[in-house]
This record gives sequence, structure tokens and C-alpha cells, in this order.
Amino acid sequence: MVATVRSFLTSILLPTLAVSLAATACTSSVLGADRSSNQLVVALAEAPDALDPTTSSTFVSRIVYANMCEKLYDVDANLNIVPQLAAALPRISPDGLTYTIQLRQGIRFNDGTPLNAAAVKTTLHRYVTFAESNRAAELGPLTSVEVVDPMTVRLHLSKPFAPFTSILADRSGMILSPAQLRKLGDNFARHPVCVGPFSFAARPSADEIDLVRSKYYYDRDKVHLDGLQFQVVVDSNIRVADMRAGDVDVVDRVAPQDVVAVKDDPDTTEVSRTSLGYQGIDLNVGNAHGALKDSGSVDNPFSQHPELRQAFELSLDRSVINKIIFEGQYVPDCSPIPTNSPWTTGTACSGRDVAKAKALVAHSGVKTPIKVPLMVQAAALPEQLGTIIQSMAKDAGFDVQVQPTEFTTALKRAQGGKFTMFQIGWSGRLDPDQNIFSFYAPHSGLNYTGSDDPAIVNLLNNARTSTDEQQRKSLYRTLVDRLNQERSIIYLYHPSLVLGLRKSVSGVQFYGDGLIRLKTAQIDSGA
Amino acid sequence: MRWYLARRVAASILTLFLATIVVFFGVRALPGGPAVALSAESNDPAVVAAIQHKYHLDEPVVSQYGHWLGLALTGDLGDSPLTKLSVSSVLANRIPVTAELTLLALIIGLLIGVPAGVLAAVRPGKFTDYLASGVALGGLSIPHFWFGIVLILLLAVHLHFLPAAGFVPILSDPVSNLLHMLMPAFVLGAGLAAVIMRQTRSAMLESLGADYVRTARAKGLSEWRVVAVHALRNSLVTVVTVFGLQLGALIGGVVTIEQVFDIPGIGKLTLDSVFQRDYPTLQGVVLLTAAAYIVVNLLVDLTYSVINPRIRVTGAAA
Repeated sequence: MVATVRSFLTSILLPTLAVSLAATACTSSVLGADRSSNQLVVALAEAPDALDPTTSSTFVSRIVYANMCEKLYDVDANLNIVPQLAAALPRISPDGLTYTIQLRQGIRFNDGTPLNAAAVKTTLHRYVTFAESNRAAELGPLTSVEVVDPMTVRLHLSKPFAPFTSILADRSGMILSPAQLRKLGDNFARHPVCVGPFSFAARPSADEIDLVRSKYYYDRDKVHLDGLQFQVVVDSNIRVADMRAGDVDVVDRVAPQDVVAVKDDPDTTEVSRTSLGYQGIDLNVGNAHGALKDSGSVDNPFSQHPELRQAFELSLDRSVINKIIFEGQYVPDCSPIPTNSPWTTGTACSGRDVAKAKALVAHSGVKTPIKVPLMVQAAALPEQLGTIIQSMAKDAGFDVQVQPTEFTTALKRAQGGKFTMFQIGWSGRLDPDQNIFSFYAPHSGLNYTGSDDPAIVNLLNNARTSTDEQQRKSLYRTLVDRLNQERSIIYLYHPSLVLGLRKSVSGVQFYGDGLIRLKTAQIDSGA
Repeated sequence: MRWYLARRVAASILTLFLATIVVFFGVRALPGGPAVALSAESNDPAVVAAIQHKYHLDEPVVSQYGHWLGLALTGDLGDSPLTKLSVSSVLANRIPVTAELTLLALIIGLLIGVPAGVLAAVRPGKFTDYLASGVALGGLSIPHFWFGIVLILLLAVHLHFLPAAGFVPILSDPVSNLLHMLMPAFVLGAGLAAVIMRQTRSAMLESLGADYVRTARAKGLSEWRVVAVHALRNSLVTVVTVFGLQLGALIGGVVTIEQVFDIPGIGKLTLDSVFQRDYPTLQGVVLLTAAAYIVVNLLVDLTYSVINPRIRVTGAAA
């Protein structure tokens, strides 16, 4: 017996164990112990995509960029646009066609090379011309970049584009090191170099990104941490458990049901901000052949009987949804522009009115119960939301069939027009144009609903070309009213972005854009 | 033996080939693809077309497969469209983590399952038997994710006894490495222990009723020697078979466990690759997992002869 066990151990288990342990020695660390006391660990809710601002399309990658890729412009705590790499806000010509940007002096990329007008030109040229660029559409009217002098650029637009400065306060305003672009080309994401308080160190896997304090950062006296480690922890309750156990210092997007645990723990705290984004229900009113094609007639009750869209909305109680599913922490609303935005329209939402909803259903002549499938993301909260909507809409005569669907599959169906209702949202942008235009413009890839309302398109075009802020605000008030008449999207609420952090962490800047700025963060080892 | 090995290796290569075909075409049957996942923010047709072209997704599927297979045979598994990292380097980082987790789970499963099965068998119908069977039933019935979260809350959040999650390389800090792996390995091993316990109990009951055991007892051997040397040795063949078969279940289990405990291994990578339609990474993972499964089963077959010399691995036995 002893010989048997010994031979089994020596022949199979021990060699395997030895090989395995030797190999793990070469593996990167994740969470917890293998970090210096001055390295901060952030648990992210999703994996960022490739770390090249040219191609990035995830919200979560912007959290990483906020600490390693500064932009020409940024926002302050009140979401006002302020200069970051630029020396001042751009000088815009009266016709709105040229933006002159003066750069700050003495700034170096994290590879030590200088930031100058040529670097801005190189970066913007890449954003516009790179085949896989997700920035080209954002920078649409940009026709050329002129180097006026070593520290000044002039951007020429084909038509006035009011959101342009705000776009330069997002990924399109991140300036990349030309030296690194020359070195890595298409593989820039493997070792991105920008200007920032931290520089990229390694990405051993999709789930881990390591940054170290920059040697070249212009404001490095304010940077206290030796480095940052971003870890992807998908489940909110596990992110919170990790933080409460001390393995994580900062937690991205604490789910509503986990906020109590964060508040109750003496070692952790939370900061909440209303998101610039929204969640709603897309109704397929005209997406017959795909979002990129012409709108057409769709065989579903909402397309055939527009009054049923109003009936459906009247059957919903946004406040109750917020109370039951989101612990009352979100902001019920019927607008794509959040209430904390400088552009808020203050639109009054219709409350729940089942009697009126029933009357509209009766008027439509459609036999009840009206079967309407609702596609939701296959995850706990969207499925709960779907169930509540199902329950509320039933009172008005709708038979909502909740269809939990994996996200990429849902996107594919939505793009192709193969849905009736789709519960989805948008992470939000500073300028209202970026929260609305692509969702209503005909032939836009994000116009899942197939909306094609000339009045809406006209208002959108006027609002994005106007350079008068007051006029724009007025146009958006009218526009939101019009959106609420069309109801191709029924807006439900603006989520609250809740940042969890250990009380030993201070100096974290967390604004309404949801980005976690850690430039001035520090860890109090005595706390 | 050589003939047997040659046949097994040939069969393994064929199995691997079939596995790559199944996963290659299977994953493409899912709606959406890398281009949909990567261009979700804009659905810009120009961007979609560029991504499709870059990753050969605009070619016929058979041509895509040929392209991938040709590169794979040279050891190039391509790059992840999501992160732009090379699949080989990502796998090289992940394999050791999952290997360690799986191995620790196997050891825990054996250390719990075999003694519990023996104890249950030598005292059938007694308290020990009921206790072991009850625990085994629990081990089989309780979902990994639930058990894992309960342990995290108990041992990490409330008692601060073990870290909640994560992974630390063994050379960086061997103690921390073990502490981080203990909970996930235990959760993963608990299900395996239950299966091993039940199989050991069943095999032992059969052995203990056999003539040779009666003879051993008649010879006046101590009960310990009868059980440990005569009965258990024969029962181990069953245990080793289960051990090999359970590898598939373990690989399935690591998908959940690595998600719950934030362990950057193959399981977590598999799940992420499916959701993000990261075709090259998923293909690499499946190729690797299938290869591991085949190799382990081959080793298990070879182990039979080590445990029970009466079993000889021959061409006929295969």
C-alpha cells in the first residue's frame, strides 16, 4: 500500500505539482499581498478593451485612461470643461469652423518626449484615419489640423459642431506619444504612452493592468502613490467583499444592493454621483432591415399603433421601479440628459396612469393581452427590472415576455431590428448631443429603434450646429419634449455611480462622469 | 506498450483536431462577433468592416479555420481582438494558475474523499457512514458559487482568516500564495471529495466482501492491514478512474470558482472570451484544455498498472 501511494505520488502528483508551482512563480500577481503598501488596487466592474484611445469603446477603459492619458480638456467637479493639456479653452472662430488651441509649456509624455503641436496633429490624424478607429465618427467634421507654432494647433471643421470641445475632453482629446506610435504602430495598445500621473507598466492579462508613478509628469509633486493596479472583478458583491477584506482599496460601481454593506462596514465608505448616462426601453418603431438601413414598417404593436407606446409608458411607475430594484438610489427621469448636467431640461415626466393607459389600449383596437417581448441583458438587475416592467404593464393589458439575452447577442439582434423592446442604456457624455444624436439620426448604427422623425432630426441638427449656448439649451428643451411624444425610447432613470473605498484612502476625485481620478490619491497606512 | 501509446497519441491528435473544429464553428454560430463587441459604442460600419478584415472574419469560415490551423501548427495562436495581447502569452500567464488550483483541489479531494469513503465502508449503516454520506451529498448538491461566496463572507469578511480573493505567485510569497488558494481549492475539491468518497465507499464495500479479504482475515491479519493493504489497494483502481473522469468536471468547476475568487486562470478567461466573442483566445483555451484532458486521461490509464500490477497496458487493453 505504502509503495503504491509512493509510486503514485512520485510518478504523477509530485512532478505535476513541481511543474505547476514553478510555472506559477512566473505568473503575475492579482489582488492583495504582492504589492507595496503604497500601491492602490482598484476593482473594476468589467475588463477594459485594448488600451489604445484610438479604438477604445468601453466606459471602463476611460477609468484607466483617467490616470495615464490626459486630454486637451477635462471636467471639474461641476462638469464644466476646463483645460488639461491645453493652456486655455479653445478660441473658436465666429463661424464655428476653426478651433485654435494653445498647449501648456514644458509637458512631456511618459517616455520623456515633449508634448507639442506636432504630437497633437499626429494623434488626431491617427484618430481620423486609422481603419479601426472609434474616434473618427466622433471627430466627424474635423477636416485638417494645422500646426500654427510649436505649441499651437488650429483645427479646421467642415461645419459648425457645438459638441467639439466636449469631445476633446474625452478620448478624442487624449494625445499619444508620436515616438511610441512610430515604435509600436498598430500594437500601440500593448504599451500605450501618453501624458499622465501614472505610466503604463504591464497588462499581463485582460483582467489586470499595472501602472507606476510617472517620472516625467508635469504635476508629479501631487502624485503620492507608487502605482496603481486595476483588477477586474465582475460581481459587485465580490468586489465589495474584497474591499471589506482589505484586498482592494477602491471599488468601481457598487451595485445598489451592496451599498448598505459598504456603509455599515467601519473600514469602508462610499461616494455617489448621478451618471451622465441613462437607462431606458428601446421600442422597435421602424427598424425593419437593420439600423443602418432605411426605416420601414415593422410588424409589432408599437410600430403599428403609436398610441400603445404612450399606454405602455403610462403603465410604468418610475419611482416604484427605483424604490424596489435600486433601493431608491437612482434618479427616475424621462430625459436622456441627466438632472445634474448643465444642460438639464427639467422635463416633467408623466406619472403612472393605468386608467388612461387602458383607454389608449382600447382605442388602439388591439386585442388584449397584447404580447410584447422585452429583451433584457442576462444579469440579475436587468432581469429584475424586466419582471417589474412585466408586472406593471400587465395592468394596462400588455403581456410582456421577458427575454434575458447575453449582451453581444442582444446587440446583434437590436442592430438587425430583430426585437420589439430592448432594455438598454448609455453611459453618457458631457454634451447632450452625444447622448441623443446617434440614437435618432437615420442610418446611424445606434438607432436601434428605427426612429425617423424629421422634426427630431431637424432639432438635433440645429442644436449641434448652433454656437449659442442659450439657444442650444432652448432647442434641447423642445427636443426632449418631442422625444417624449415619439417614444421610440422610453427613458426610465439615470443610474447613480457609487464608488466604494476604504477609509484609509483619501484624495480620490470622483465626478459625475464616473471616472476615478487617482492623481492625488493616497493611502494612510495608519488608518 | 509502444503500440498502445502510438495508438493513443494518434487518437489524441484526432480528438484535438475534432475539438478545434467543434469550437471554431460553434463559437461562430453565436450571434454577434468580435466586431459587434468592439464597435458596440458606435456600430460604425467602417469600423466593423476594418475589424472583420483584420481578423479574417470577412472570409468563408472554412478559409478562416485553415488560416487559424496553419498558424496554430506553428505555435502562433493569434492576438486577442479585445486586448491586442498575444493569445500564447495570455495562456502562458493563465495556465499555471489554473494548474495549481486544479492540483490543490485534486489533493484536497483525495485527502478528504478516500479516508471518508474507507471509514464509511468499514462501518456501513453506522454513524460514520451516515455522516460521510451526508457530507458527500452536501458536497455534490451545493453549487460552487454559493459555497464560495459563503466561505468568503465567513472566513474573509467576518473572521479575516483568509484573503477574500486573488492570486499571488508562489515565489513572491509562498505563504500568501497558499492562503489565497486554500478557499477556492477547498470549494473545488469538496465536490470532487464527495464523488471520490462515494466511489471509494462502493468499491471498498465490494472488496471487503470478497473472498481474498475473508482469507486475509482468516489468516489473522490485523483489521488495519486487511483494510489498508488488501481492500483499499484494489479499490484504488476505481478511485483513479474517477480521478481521471473528474478532470472534466474540475475544468468546468474552475470557470465558476475563478470567477468567484477572482483568480486569473483559464476558467475566467474562457467565460470572458465567450462573452466578448474573443475567438482567438477561446480557440486557444479549448485547444489547450482538450490537450490537458487527453494527457491526464492517458496518465490515468498508465497509472492503473502502477497501482495494480495485474493490469497490463497492452494494445488489446486499449
